[in-house]
Amino acid sequence: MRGAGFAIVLLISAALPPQVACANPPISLAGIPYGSFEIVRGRDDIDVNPDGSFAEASEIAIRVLDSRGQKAFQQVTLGYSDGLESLGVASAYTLKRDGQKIPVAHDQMLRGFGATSRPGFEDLKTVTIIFPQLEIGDQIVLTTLRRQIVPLFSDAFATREEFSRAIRADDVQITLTSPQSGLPLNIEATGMEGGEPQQFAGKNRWVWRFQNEQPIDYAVDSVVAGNDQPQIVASSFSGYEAMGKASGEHFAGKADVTPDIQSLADQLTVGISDRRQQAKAMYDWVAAHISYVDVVLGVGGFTPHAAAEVLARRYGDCKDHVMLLQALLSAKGIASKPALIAANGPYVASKIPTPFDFNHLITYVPEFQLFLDSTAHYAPFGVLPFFDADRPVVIVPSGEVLHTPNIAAEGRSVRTVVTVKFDGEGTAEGESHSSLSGDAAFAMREFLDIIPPAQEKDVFRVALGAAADASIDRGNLDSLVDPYSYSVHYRVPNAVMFPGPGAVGSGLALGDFANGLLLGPLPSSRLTTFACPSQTIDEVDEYDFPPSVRVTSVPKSEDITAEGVQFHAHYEIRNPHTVSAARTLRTDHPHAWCTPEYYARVRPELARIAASLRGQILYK
Amino acid sequence: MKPGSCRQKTFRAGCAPTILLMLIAAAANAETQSSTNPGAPNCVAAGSQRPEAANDHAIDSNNYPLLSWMNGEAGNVMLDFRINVDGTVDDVTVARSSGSARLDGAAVDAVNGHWRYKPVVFGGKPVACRYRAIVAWRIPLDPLQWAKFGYGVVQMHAPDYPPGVSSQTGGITAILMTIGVDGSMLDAKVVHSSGIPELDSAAMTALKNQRWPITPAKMQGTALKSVVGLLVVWSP
Repeated sequence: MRGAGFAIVLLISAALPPQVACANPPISLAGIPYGSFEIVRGRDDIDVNPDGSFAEASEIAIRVLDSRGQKAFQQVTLGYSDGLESLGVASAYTLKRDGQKIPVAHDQMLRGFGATSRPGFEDLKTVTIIFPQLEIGDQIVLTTLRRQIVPLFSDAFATREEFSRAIRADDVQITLTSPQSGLPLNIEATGMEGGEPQQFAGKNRWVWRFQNEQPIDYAVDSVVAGNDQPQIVASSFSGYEAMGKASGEHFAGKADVTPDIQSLADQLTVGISDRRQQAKAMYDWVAAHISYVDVVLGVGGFTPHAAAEVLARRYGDCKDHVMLLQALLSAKGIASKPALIAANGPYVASKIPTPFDFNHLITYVPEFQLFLDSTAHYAPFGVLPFFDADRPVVIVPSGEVLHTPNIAAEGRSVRTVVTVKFDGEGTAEGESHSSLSGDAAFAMREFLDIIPPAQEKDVFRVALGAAADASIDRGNLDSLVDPYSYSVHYRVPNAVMFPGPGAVGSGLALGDFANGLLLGPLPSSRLTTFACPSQTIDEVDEYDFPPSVRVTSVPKSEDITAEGVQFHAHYEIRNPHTVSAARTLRTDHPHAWCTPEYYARVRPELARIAASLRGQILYK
Repeated sequence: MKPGSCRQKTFRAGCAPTILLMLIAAAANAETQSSTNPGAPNCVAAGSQRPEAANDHAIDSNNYPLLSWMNGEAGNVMLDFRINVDGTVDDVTVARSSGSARLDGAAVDAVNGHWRYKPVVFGGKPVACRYRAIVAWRIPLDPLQWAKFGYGVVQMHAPDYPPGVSSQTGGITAILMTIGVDGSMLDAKVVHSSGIPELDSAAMTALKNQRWPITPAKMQGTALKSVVGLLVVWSP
């Protein structure tokens, strides 16, 4: 039966993470569904100059295997930082299954500005290539030359070339050459063939090959805990200290306190003597007033704008946010430091440091041992969004490697109260009141923010069926009050069939919420680490049937516990036509990711919880 | 885009005569230079003749280092290697560098473990010995470069092939023509062969039978002959 879950808790996992830079030119494969394409051939020649700048020639042939792949590759956009590097397309064509080559015409190669380019960020340029007549089974073949003109870090070079075991690759070869003296590289390669260092003509040379004939079928919620994919890391940085110092050179003098900044800091902290509360006031102001332009760290360069400039413009990228917040805090004598982080990235720091692993910058306040991300507009002071949590950070300029805290069960909680009343014709009229805390509030605010009010009804029709009519009270989206509360009122005609006998699903609000987090598809086993957030979800439901209907059975009340998981469900027939249900799911994990071994240990209990959530209320 | 270029595997066979990087194995100086390794005899001295290749020693353009290709790097790499008793090749070193680490390294990679010779026989028994060969990296003809010099491009496909030439072969014939003021062809010569004489002459025949509607340039009122360059690209 459609619309069985009458409690409305929208999936929060849909909140958008920040854009992540991809280190592997020429084409970013991030986000393209596995199995929709395969790499037929890849060639990557990187030549490092003594000053750390490099030239990189890349050729890639990708076969599209289904309509998703076709859609993803019929138009490819490459980005580059104008002034810092050049990007040329040496050749681009569609290779038809019968061997015919259809070249990309010049008017199908469009040079443009980056999607997020605004004054001050205009160095980000793009080339968009439209591959003609691309059908399933055809290949796109693209050869590019990227030449770095100015190294992002003077006299330093670093790169990470990463491959996925989930993507079929027939023939990939990476060649790296670097000066034999003057720029020693630390190199670590895993899961690659070759790589013995050689010397030719005054240069070091490494050649790696990669082949992946049988791609692993990753579960949708697989995450990379460490850097455990096949990859090559090469870096001239001797350690994180050197990397932190080099990054610091870009930030020097950018967080100076000007009279404008001092006066703003004074104004924001009037009447506040507690230093933590002062910091909160300044954080709140930056989060609310400086709009975030998500220029990815690394692509748009590593140099922020000066705090005073950011203040005057009222917008900036992550680096700009950090500089302004640092200047404001320092105007009140509160020291803070920039912290490089890989948002949505690995949970374990790489042994060999490369600044290009980091796509984001946040603020660290040592006095409160607190990490702040003011670009997360909807994150209240002290709440670090899921994409920043439980991840290594490098403090600039000291190079100290710290770790952001994992979100605890209390830091991500959802409490929902639902009442549903069925009339004699089977129409359901319901109210759902949700109260969310911490990261859950952040994610839900972000999610609701991107749904235009005009499309609200469509979102609910998807959830409840085409005939449903629903409205949402978004509550106070902007004030960052914790907990965040919102409510939904809905009406679903023909939700159930009367007279019975019949059945109504129960508790799918909880099920929806947990879907994809812990209780989703429940594969028989897992091959990789997977996302397993700590959280508290509880829900109280009341189902009210018309007097003519008698409830004959409710699911069994249960308490199920497993390592890191507690589930409680209690069902009660209060009178012949009213049912109340109370369910709680709490997960506590030391990290935001769990291992396949852990999954194997708890799977039997997870299956029992899933079965309980599928339980039905029977009536006649 | 490079029409008819050999970057694509499907063209590999057809392009062999013109576009493949020619390997001058057993070059003259291979015999005159003694081995750097005293542990094994020089193959030519041992076998009293040049070792004979037992497999294809051509290196196809797919192995041209991509960045070298784009940078226009070309050159010769002299390699010194061991031919084992079974004819396999290993212990490959660079005896004379091309000056490019990429070309040197790619030459070693192409030869090491891939080349085979017929076993070198000395005193009635196969022996291990050392030998030298030059790998010559040449940037193949790039129609785009020619186009920059004013060459037009004519594509020829399977139906245009002369009888007796497999349409699976391919190549580029570059022709320089002199066109009279009336549009007739006065002279034509092949300045770059496709490597297949039948294709070259078919290209010449096809062009000779054309009228060339070119508006001649004039000098002091007198019309001048025109010189036209054409690339005839044979691709199945």
